[in-house]
Amino acid sequence: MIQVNQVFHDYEGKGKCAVSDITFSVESGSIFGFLGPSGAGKSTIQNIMTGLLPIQKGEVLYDGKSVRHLNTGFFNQIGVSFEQNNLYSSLTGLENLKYHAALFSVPTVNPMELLERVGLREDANKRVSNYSKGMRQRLTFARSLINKPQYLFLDEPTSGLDPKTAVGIRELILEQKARGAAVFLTTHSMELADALSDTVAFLYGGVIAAMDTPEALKRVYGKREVRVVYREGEEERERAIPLDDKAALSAMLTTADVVKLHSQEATLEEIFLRVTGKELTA
Amino acid sequence: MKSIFSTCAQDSKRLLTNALFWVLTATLVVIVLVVDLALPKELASGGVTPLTWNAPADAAFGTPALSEEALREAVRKGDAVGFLFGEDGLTIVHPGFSEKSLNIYVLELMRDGFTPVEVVSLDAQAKEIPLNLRLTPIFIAFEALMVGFILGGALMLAEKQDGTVRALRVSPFPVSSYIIAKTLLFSLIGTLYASLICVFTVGFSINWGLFLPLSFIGTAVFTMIGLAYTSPFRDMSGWFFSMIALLSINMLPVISYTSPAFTPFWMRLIPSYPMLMVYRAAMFGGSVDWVYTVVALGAWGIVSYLLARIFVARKHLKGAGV
Ligand SMILES: Nc1ncnc2c1ncn2[C@@H]1O[C@H](COP(=O)(O)OP(=O)(O)OP(=O)(O)O)[C@@H](O)[C@H]1O
Ligand SMILES: [Mg+2]
Repeated sequence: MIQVNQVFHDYEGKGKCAVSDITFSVESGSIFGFLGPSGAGKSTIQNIMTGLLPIQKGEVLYDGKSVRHLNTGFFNQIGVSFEQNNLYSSLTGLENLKYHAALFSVPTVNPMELLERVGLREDANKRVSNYSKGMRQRLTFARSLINKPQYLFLDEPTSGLDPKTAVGIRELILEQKARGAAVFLTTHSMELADALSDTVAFLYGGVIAAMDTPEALKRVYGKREVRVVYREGEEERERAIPLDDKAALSAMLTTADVVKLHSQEATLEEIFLRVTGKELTA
Repeated sequence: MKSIFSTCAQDSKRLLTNALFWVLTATLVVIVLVVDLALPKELASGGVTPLTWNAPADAAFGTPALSEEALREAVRKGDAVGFLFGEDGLTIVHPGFSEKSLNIYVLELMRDGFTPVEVVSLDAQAKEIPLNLRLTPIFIAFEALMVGFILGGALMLAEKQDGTVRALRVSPFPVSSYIIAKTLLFSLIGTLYASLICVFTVGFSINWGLFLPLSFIGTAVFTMIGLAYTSPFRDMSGWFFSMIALLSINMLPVISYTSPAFTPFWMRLIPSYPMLMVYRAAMFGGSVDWVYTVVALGAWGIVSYLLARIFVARKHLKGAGV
């Protein structure tokens, strides 16, 4: 389990915090979706958690041990997929994975198998300088899995990928969870977060605006109404009825010529808008 | 261990696509051609210092030596030619000059009214070192041994540019292994380059037992200084120009190598000084000041490793920020 307790970070030391009072935990065998618009502070938190940024205030604990006191060997249990490109461009995809695998002192996954899984088998022996943006991203993702990490950090793993590859990558992420890894998933994509996360947190302006399971968020912030499509003469009409207005609902069902009924579940996107007053993908 | 050798292997692959690597390799070829074809083979008259002992007041040449023994020692090292004024007359002691070179001195002396009664060579091999070969240790020290400084730095900057340094920071790869891997690779390359320059200029018959370890240790020291020095830089521009300033300081011992009389104490603190002296002994014979050499190179080995440890850790790997 990873625990993040009351973490603050001020880049310039001028009292203006990029993230403030961030507290959450990521259980082993679960996926934690970290959502927020650009500049919200998602990468800042990931970098503090992985030790790339020194902790200024607060605490990050891995199974109770502070990130401040972890030794080099601890990184055998960590996998990180960064949002920016960070591959050796003069080496091939396979060489990149093989080299990274050699850095670990724990059993590693066969690099060719991983390349197969992310659809890069054919391009394994091509230099990364000749890879497209999406290919590099898949390679970075594959690299983060090479040591079967107990703690997996994924910063925007599927942005800019075609739907078919994105599905393959989702499957791989779910496999990591099934294997018992604690997965910290940073993304703009509400859809991805909704599909994969056990818990989601909305980060906005450096603070957590809401945090719960996707279902609970939908229950609390969702519209809780039914959309009824009914026929009136030749025309089809539509009406939204709140779920707790039982009288109106039963009247509608008994009297009108109902064609369709939709339960109006809110998307995470809409919930985010309600919680923060801002569009996520702005 | 596995991680160190893998790093060596992948760094050497990365070198093959690095333009600076090919520039340095081409420079090596140019050096060999210049030494073999372009430089004069005559011994430069300024190559050795004239030293005198007991010189009469009207002998307007040379620098008075501190003692007769000091004079002989300087000559034995090949740094000086000595003029000893004794009861019997003037004796010239020289580090194995050819007759032609000696004649220049004798003629000069006779014009001043001194006739030598005896000429003594203090070099058992009695071999004159042509100027072009005498300069070879300089080329080796400032080309071959510098591969680690320049290319090690170039690889580090590429790691920053590629962002791969971030991936290294979240991997279980200790700072010490990072330094050892780079130093090992470049020490091997530096030794190979030094040997190539030597074989194609001075030839095979040198003291390899001295030459090879010196080349390995010398490149290692400069590589580690280079790793420490490059750590705070983000890109090539500032790095390249300030590097030239640093390398210029490191080249100062060339002055003492060609005019041994000018060897102030601080000169002996610059790492390239002991290297030049040992190269000369390895390639042309002569004595090595073992105590000084071992202390100087040992101290630089330790200091450069510590500098690399501190700077690579704080400014390149762990704790270097994002
Ligand atoms: N190195 C830095 N120095 C100063 N400020 C920074 C630095 N890195 C990030 N910031 C600031 O901190 C805030 C959070 O940035 P961060 O990169 O964590 O956002 P993000 O949520 O990851 O955004 P994105 O979705 O675009 O990746 C931003 O206001 C950004 O300007
Ligand atoms: Mg980010």
